[in-house]
Amino acid sequence: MKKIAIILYMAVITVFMAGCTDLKEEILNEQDDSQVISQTENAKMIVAPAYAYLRDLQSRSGVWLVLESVTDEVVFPTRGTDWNSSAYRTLFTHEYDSKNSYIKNTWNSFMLGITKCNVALQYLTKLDQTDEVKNYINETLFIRALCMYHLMDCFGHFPMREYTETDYSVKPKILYREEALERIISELNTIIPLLKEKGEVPYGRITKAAAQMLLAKVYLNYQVYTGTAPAFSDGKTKWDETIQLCDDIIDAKKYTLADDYWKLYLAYNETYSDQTETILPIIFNNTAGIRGVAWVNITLHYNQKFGNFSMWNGCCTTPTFLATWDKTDPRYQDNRLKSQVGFNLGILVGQQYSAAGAELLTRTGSKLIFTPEFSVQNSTESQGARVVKYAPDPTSTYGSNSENDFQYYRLTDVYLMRCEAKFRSGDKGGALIDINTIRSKRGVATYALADLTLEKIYNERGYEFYWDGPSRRNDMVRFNRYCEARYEKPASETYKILLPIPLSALEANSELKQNEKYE
Amino acid sequence: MNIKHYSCNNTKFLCNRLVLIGFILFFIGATVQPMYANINSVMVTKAGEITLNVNNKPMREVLTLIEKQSKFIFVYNSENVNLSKSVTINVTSSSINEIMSMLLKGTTLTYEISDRQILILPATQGTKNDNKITVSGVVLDEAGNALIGVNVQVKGESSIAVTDMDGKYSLMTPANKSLVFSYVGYKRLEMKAQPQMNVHMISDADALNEIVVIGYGTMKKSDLTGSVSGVKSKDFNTGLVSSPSQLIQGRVSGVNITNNGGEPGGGVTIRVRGSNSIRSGQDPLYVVDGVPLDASEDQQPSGASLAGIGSSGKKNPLNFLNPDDIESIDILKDASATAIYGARGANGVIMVTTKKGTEGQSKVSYSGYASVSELPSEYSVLSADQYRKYAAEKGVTIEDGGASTNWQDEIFRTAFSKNHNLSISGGNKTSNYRISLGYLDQQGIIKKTGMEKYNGRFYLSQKALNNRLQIEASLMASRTMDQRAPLGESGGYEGDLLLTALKVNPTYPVYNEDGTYFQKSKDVRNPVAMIDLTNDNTKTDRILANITGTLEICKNLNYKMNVAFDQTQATRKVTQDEELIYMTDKGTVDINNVESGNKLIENYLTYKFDIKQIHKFDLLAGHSYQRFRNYWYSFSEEGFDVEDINYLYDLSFGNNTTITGLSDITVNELQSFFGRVNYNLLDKYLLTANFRIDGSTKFGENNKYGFFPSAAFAWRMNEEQFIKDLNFFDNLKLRASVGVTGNQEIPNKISQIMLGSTDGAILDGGSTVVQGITLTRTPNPDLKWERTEQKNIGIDFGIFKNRLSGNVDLFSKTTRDVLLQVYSISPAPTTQVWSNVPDMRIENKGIEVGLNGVIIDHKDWKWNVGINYSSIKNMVKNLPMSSITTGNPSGPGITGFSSQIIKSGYPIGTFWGYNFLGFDADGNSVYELDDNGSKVEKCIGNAQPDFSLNLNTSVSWKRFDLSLFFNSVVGNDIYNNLANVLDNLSMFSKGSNTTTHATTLSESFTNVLDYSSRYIEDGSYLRLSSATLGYNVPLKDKKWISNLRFSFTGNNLLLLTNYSGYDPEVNSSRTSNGVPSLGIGWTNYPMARSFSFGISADF
Repeated sequence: MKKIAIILYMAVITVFMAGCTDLKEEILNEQDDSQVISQTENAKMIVAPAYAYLRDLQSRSGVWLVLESVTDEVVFPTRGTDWNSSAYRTLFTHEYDSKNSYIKNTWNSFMLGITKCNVALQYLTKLDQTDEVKNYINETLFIRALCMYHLMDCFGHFPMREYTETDYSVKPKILYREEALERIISELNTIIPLLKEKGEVPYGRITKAAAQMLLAKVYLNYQVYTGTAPAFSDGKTKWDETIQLCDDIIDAKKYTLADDYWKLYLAYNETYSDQTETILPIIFNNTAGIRGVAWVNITLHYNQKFGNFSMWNGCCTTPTFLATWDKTDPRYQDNRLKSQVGFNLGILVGQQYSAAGAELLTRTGSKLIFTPEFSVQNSTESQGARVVKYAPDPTSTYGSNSENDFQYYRLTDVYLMRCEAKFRSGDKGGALIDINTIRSKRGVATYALADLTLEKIYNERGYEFYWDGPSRRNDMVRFNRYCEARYEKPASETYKILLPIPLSALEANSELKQNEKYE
Repeated sequence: MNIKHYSCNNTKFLCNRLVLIGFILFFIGATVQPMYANINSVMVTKAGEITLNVNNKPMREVLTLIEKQSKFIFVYNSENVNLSKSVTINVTSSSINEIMSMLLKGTTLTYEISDRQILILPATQGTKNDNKITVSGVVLDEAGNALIGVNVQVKGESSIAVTDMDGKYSLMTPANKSLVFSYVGYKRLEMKAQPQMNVHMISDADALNEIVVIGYGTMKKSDLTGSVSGVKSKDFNTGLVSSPSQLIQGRVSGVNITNNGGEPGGGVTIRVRGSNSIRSGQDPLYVVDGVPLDASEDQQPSGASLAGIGSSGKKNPLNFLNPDDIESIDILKDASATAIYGARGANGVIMVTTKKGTEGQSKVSYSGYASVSELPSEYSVLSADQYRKYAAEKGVTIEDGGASTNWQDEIFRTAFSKNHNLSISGGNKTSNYRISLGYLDQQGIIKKTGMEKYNGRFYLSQKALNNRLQIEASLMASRTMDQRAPLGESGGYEGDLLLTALKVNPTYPVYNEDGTYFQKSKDVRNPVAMIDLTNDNTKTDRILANITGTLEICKNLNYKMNVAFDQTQATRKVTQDEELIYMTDKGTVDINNVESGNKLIENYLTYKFDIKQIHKFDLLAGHSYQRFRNYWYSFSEEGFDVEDINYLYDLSFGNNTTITGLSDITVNELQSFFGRVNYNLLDKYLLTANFRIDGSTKFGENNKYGFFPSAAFAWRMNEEQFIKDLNFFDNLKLRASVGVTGNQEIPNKISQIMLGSTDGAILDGGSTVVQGITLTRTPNPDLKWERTEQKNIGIDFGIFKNRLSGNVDLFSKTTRDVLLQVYSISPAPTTQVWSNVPDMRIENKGIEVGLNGVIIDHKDWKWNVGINYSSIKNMVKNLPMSSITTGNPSGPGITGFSSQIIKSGYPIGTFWGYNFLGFDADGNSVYELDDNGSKVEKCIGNAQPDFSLNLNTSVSWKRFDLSLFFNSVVGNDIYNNLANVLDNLSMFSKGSNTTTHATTLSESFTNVLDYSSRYIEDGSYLRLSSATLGYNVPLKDKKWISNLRFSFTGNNLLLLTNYSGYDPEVNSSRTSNGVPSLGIGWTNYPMARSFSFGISADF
């Protein structure tokens, strides 16, 4: 009897209590936006993350850092007790491996970019297909194609999900290079006719020309993607397709070459960029809360501080790159901010001065003279030529954050791509016209036909796009310069052309295979 | 209205009624026994000493007096024991043996003690003959009531008698045999047979010394099947103790307690039987009087953010408890003990039991101490003269500030602390109470740091309904006020207060000529200015209230309900004066506020029964619901440039139009069902089976409830004849247990998908930012708790009349379904996702040994020694990634490294880096290279010790007593991050100070500073943790003061170590990506050496 009573009592308690909670997690500080995404007027909120992602291409701990530091343009040498990181050093010396944290960041960045686009596509495609929504879809497809292009270019193969695949515990399909290449070409070909021209959409948005330019880049490098390193001579070429796309952009006459090169790189460069040659700008705006990279801080010496800026004395450029220059080229140096900040734009070598003109000193009291030579393993404070490409706003109250819109694609690149494609396909004369168009715009001596070599085209690209980010690595590979020995870097094996798939990615997805010869 | 909802309301209604009844009962029923004067000449002090002052009194009367005042009960057969002899005796002793031998001196009588019963018998009886005798008598309970159904058995034989309605029994036995009396709920009694035996059985609950607190109940230590270690208040650590964890540091084997630094009330790292997890959330569960606490760190408001200083260390979450209110701390270690706490039991459970009133006269107690603390030794950096001289010698240009400043002298001080505790307690048969107040003012040895604490506690217990209902209520309220200095656990190259004091140029003056602070630059700061111009005050109020009602539904069936409410409100206010050179935005104010609380309601039933006194069962079944809420908000304002006014008092002086405000809230619930069966066969074989089903809101949709079972077996071998025949063991018990517990301490919300706002973009070419919406979390609906399987085998023993007792436990713990933030299968919304990693295991295998010996037990001399040893081997297996990195070094130039890794085949806390070999001819570091000439990265140390060994000993001579407590940890490595910044010459050439040691090196002034084995040091130490000399004042007239004791305690008197930092007991929090590090020394608040003078008195 007693036992029955106990059992009954327990049963009663159990039943009573079981009803007290269903253990549904209560989330009070996050807004569930599932309502928002079902309304067509909110389409721009859905596409915004894809656009916001573009800013990550400028990351100094990810994409920008890696694409630049593996070349002769940028190096982060260790300086005694400062900047001591083998991840920086190995990028420059090509001793990088699958554990390099910056390569991991780069991979992750492109992967996040793809997902940001996929999520946007997932919700955009469910809305009423108004013109606005359709256009956002095409713009998003471009951003996704850009991520795929970089992954294919840097890593060879990569995993890819369609926007309809939303179970993130399922292992995605792996796109190998050939397949990825064809897919990027086909996607771009699909959206090019659908995308708006410059002027039809506001500044900063994806245009038809941007997609054409990306496709032109794919074609320009087609031989690299299908051939064998180091010369890639067995690869298929698509010079004509490249030339055709460049013609399309140039002939549409939506963009004009800038008369003032440095005006493209000033803090408030958006109006001039829009008026002249910028095809794909990435907008930064401190007042709107969209803050850029500390371009000036990472390179300048501690004692070159001004206004609200304090310096970190980090990266510099290399004698290899400096050797390509004619120092009278206006793109080498510009003094327009010198009276305000003490230093010139462009490349900084030699004694440095304060804004008042006084000689600056190092922290230990000797003269601050930037020397082009450095040691990647251990440099002094003043070794290495510095570069200020994106000019600061000396009066900025935002401290280190830069204001400049990022020049991702410019018309100059279209001319130089066409020049190269023509040169490589045998039309030297056509090539000469294109390169000289640029050189005369920049106020430097034009070349004679006999002087024009591939190296001159390669160097010209360096003068134009140094420290911009997306170009140098790609150029070095295509011109077979990537693996060669250069200052403070021994020759590297050709397998280094493809970056290693990060260990973290391999460990998360066993179906992903490491690139050849990497551990 | 659905049925569930209705039932729920109904239960709540019922609960409310019960609570209400409880309250009414308290106020009607609470009666306090009046004090009555004690004129007897037998006294028992608080400490258990018996004072006997009788003059020519018959022995029988003396025994009655002792019975009245002490816990002892005398049993004798008046037919053959003559107690009419008069005795004169004056003695005070805590040893009953001593008293009895004095009392029986000169008689033909002898005695035998069995627990509280003292059997007096003729000296010759024991060895007389083996004739059979008939034993008869009455068995009574403590109150003198007859006990019905008591089992009386001839030891080792089958003859059994059972007491009748009047408690009477009778049986035949050989004369030299013992009788065993047993009865559920009472202590077993074993006595030599005599013709007439009237015995008193003592209830289990009364013998507090033998009781340990387990989940949802208490248990006799002898009936335990699991591994539980208890520390009673008399064994607590002494001296300047501000938190409960310090009370038991080093007292329990298998429990590793490390102070994270010496800050008053500073944080501790407690690991019960090793690290079971990779992430944070490795702390044990704290249960105070049956209420599981939320002791997570997010109950503490964070401070101001400031470049170079890093976040300040967390304080000890148990600071709100007054150590003087604690009766005992029991630690549940094996799965059999912890499984009743299911998903929170994997890291061990610390059960804190507070003091209650005792039956008898009201007692007023006071205890207090005053103490002085100081820095044991300074860090040996160069003095101004040495600095100048060395620079001149080496031809290094230094900036000479013209002064000679010992920066350490400028920031450290001799600190004074005081503590007062006052309590009143008492009770009668149906109620008891205790009221206490505590005050602690502890100064830190760094200027402007300290902790002030006020505690109040009220406890009341009342029986009602013919003793069928017992209500217990406890209210604990505390206010803690922390004052802190800008000290950080990480920080950048500029350095926090302590790093600044150590590295700043000693030739710099403290003040400029105009009286302002000399502040070199934003990066080279003035530590005195940092202290003086920063105010960092935290006020924490916490209330813990709980009411327990126990209702006897019918005999042996009890219903118990426990309702608790725990609320914390903490506010931290930090102001930084605009005069500080590094304040780029002028003066700032940061106010951080945390409101945190939990509510608990538990209902459970217990039922005890037996079958023919052979099979005894003790059952428990219940339900528990707990809801946690944590809300914080903070705001910060900058731009203050007024002088001579506390910014907090008028926020409008700053940029009050641009105040930054933040807030966050988490709510989670835990619903559990639990049960336990204790089965006792013949008092020899004990079996326990536990289970708990825990449901948590934190778990994913597909795994809301987890099941955590355990089972244990114990064999009381000393009850077996073959062990008895050995005549060696007084106690011998073998224990074995196996079970599963969980760990649910994972962040909130991580299982769910989240569509939320993210960075926006400008889409119109202008400056309007469109906020973005995207997936901001990679969901994992399968997310669940970590499972820790634990096996334990242990032995308890007592030999030489229990003068040497101890235990040995071997255990093996394996954690599976390890919760980790792993890389997601990209492309995914986030790069990482929380996941229970399949196949991965974390293993802890260890041995624990505890030994206690009474070496001398003499009238005047007593000497006890206790030793505990534990050794744990930790190992990570099948980690799905090559390694997880954590423990990022801090300071100039060494960022970008990870000092520690978690890797398959290695223990947690493995230091991984370059192997430093020395310097080359140029003074640059040389490291071990591989065949390709690259620097080898390898295991260069481990933060987990090989073993820890603690020793406590106490010697007493008459009224003096001396106790010493040594603790030692052996074989652990420490990464001395501070030395990595200071103990080198690279930083010297940049204007930093350096150590005297570094000046003896052949290092180059431009050497690259790497993290390497150069700065891995042996962290082994032996510390004389405390030494106490006490004196109990003899009191002629105990009318007013019954006990008076003075004590003098020194803490941290002696430290033997090779570690070059201030103190090897360090653990700077360098959690990276949610993975905590171990054994990193940074600018940890140095451990003080302190001397305390204490008084305690009972009135």
